[in-house]
Amino acid sequence: MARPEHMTQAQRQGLETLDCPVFDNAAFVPPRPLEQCRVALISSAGLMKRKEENIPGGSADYRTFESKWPDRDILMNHISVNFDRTAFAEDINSVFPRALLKELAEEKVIAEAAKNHYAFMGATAPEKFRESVEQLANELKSADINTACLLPV
Amino acid sequence: MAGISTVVIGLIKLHLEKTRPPRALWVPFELGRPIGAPMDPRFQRQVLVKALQLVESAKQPVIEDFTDEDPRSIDCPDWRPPVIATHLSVTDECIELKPWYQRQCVDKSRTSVGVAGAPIADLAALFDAVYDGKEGKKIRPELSDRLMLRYAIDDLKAYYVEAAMAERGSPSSRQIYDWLWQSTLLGSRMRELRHRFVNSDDDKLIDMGNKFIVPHQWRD
Repeated sequence: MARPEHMTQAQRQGLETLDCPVFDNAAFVPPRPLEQCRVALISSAGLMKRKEENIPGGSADYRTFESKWPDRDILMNHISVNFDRTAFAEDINSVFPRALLKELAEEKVIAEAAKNHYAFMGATAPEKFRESVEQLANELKSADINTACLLPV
Repeated sequence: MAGISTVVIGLIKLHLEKTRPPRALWVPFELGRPIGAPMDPRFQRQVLVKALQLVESAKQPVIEDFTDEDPRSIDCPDWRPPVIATHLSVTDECIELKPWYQRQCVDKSRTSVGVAGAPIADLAALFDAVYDGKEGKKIRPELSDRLMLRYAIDDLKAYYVEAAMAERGSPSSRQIYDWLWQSTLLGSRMRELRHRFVNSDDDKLIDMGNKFIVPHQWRD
């Protein structure tokens, strides 16, 4: 469990002293009904497509996973060894729940699951992401996506 | 309605409290599984829906707790690791584990092995060569030796994890990693290699030993 009391001292210290960015003006979009949400998933698990180029550590780029791209050809290339990978190996929905989201759309719980979902490399310095995040935000707007579900690991 | 609503499913509550994203669901699961229990779609769905429902919240910022524990964080009494012989090389250990690994691939129609982009036999041979202090075969010449070794180790771990999951039962990650790090030749040799790297005079090897081979909880 990701509770500090269940971690080693080194891991706990690392997480407790991690320099986190503070945002004075976090954008807050007014509430919208769940059934109107068109949702994209954005993971920071360092996911890549099988046989694609590896993701360098510290990269701020993102990878795109089209709905037709099969789960069986999504790999985890995250730089850190300090988190569980058994769940990802057993069931990708524990990390990147594209199939679950599609079900929610089919059952009209949400309006739509995005055609594309995305993944960044975690453990990259937050300030490096500005350009690629702006690019992704524009991509989401062009695809008429109104909700992003962010999934750190 | 303008704007893109965001919802974060966060595993470290302290980081959510520090960064104060507009809407966040804190989940009490182990790092690496934000949606929780593998192969439990009912539970996973509860997590995902609870997070997405936060877009309906007018309160800002909001950090809500998901209070249910991951049912797969509990050890499975029925599970047993693969029973294998004692080997003198990781190559031989991989050969013996192959039937378990292949069974898991068939059962799940998927494998998470692949980041190194090379057959597991080549990766095991590279690991054995590095462990024996020899120069391994250049598998992907475009990569540095250290990066190739890192990817090889990532794939070897995934191969063993999947072999372990082929047995009956639904093991916790702790059970699988206990076996990997304490009962396999790969586990003991990765720990030994880490020691060698961190005690070397090479800054790059020290960095590799400190970051990329053995998770914190399995270091001696």
